Amino acid sequence: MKSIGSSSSPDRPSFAAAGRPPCIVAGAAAAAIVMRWLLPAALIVALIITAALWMAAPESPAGGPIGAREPASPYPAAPGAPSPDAPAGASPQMRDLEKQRQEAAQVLQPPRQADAQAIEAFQLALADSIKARRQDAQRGDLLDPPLVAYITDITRALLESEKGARILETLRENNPADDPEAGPAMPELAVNAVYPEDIALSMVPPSLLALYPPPPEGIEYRFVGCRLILMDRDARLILDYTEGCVW
Amino acid sequence: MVGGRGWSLRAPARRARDHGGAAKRRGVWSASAGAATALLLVFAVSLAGCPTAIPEFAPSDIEADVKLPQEDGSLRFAVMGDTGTGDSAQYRVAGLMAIYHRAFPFELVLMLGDNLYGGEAAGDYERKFEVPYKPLLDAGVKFYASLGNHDDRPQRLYEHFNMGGELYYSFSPAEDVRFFALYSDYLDPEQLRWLEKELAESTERWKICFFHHPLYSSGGRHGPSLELRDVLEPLFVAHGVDAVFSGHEHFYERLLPQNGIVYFISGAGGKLRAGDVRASQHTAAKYDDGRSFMILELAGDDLHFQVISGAGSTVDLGVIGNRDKITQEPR
Repeated sequence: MKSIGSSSSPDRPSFAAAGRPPCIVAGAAAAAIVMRWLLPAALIVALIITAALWMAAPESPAGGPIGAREPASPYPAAPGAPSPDAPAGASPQMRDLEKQRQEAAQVLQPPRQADAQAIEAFQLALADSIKARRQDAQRGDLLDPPLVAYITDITRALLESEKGARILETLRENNPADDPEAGPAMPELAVNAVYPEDIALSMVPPSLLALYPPPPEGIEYRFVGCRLILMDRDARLILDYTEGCVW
Repeated sequence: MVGGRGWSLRAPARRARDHGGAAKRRGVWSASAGAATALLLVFAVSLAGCPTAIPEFAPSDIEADVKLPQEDGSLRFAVMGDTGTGDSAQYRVAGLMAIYHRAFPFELVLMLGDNLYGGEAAGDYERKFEVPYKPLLDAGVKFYASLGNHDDRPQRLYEHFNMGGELYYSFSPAEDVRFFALYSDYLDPEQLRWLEKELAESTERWKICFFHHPLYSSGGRHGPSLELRDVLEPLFVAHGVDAVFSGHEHFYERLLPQNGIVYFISGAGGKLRAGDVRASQHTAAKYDDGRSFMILELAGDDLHFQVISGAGSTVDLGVIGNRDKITQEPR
């Protein structure tokens, strides 16, 4: 692959050099030529390239082919571990959440390659939209008692297994309750509250994620101390949280 | 490409008949906009061909001392982690990277996570990324990010991070190599299935993974992520991954090859945890006295690496053979 950048000279010019670099002078001359002769063709070619890149964006937006992802697991999915208390499927509230988020995302259309202003605008608009759709939501709507009981059983069983020490270590990694580097304070736990940007997110052990019921697309499990929270990954909204410890 | 005669500055005829005056104004406006666009394009092209500008915050007393072979046709890239503080230390390392880019024009940078500490408003992207790395961005260097525990997920949408809107992705910037960026903060079954499929389908000779949390580390503060190692290492070994880059630990460490894979930690591009390496049986080289970044060159069967300290000195140097162990110890 061809290298970008034209110089391998060890000489480092001053940042405030008096003369213009030759390449800029050459660029100005080239601009005059282009204005006279090459402008029409260049614009047509640019339009064609833009159209081609736009069509190819999902596959190769980053200079090389982005690997195709499998479609998200259909929700609800059966938990990986057998348990007599496993919930039969997603609660109506969880299904509603999935629908609400899909509707919000359809309206807002998250950009795939955006500048910082567009990202900030999307994030705020999505949060507003979700909060408006869930203004009557209460703690326990999503993480309802059967689901919390199931998750608690799984988590505690794994912590008592031979891998328990490793899992506990991961649960405490960047956990705001255990890791002073995670942030200046504990996040406030409230439905529709924003998880503060200056507080790190706890790591979630892969062995737990393998057994927890997969949440809807765009929703993640996280921990604050020993309490489980459900949050929207783009809006950074806390959607629900457990009243007590799950481990 | 010369097609001036075929280009009309007028609006389409049908519209001109219907709205003559308006169409003329639109034509003039289109021509003006087109000319301005063309000028900008030409100027951008001329700038892209310029040597990397050295920013004011670059250390003024340092010259690049590149020890890599710089072979024709090689892939040159840089690696940095835990950068996004927005403070003077990050800016200094960024300035040093610009100095090295002039002597060693790497075309891409792997970001190992914690790209933006604290707030992530639009101004934070500017202060913690766009300003310090502006000389590299202006020179056409592409950044490929992975996300850390301090990063918000919408970063995957950011145009300069080239993540294609995905939290995990792979890309192939040259014929013989494929990079795999993982989201190690949340390694769910879907991501693991994707990784296994991507690795299995990859035919490139070099497979290089990068993500935030290290599988091997001699750090006293964090240490290795054993949970991640349990699920990732078997995949890496089974599918012939050659090298792995991680951050999270705010120092540099190179581990002795583990099951044929060389692990690097380069998490001191902005943050620093001085003296945190507790050299272990796995440690091949370390640097925790100051900040650092890496430059690398992939040429055929060899991946050459050089680690630059914030003071501009070389603190590790070597070469990895394809699925082989380090053949040259650091100087």
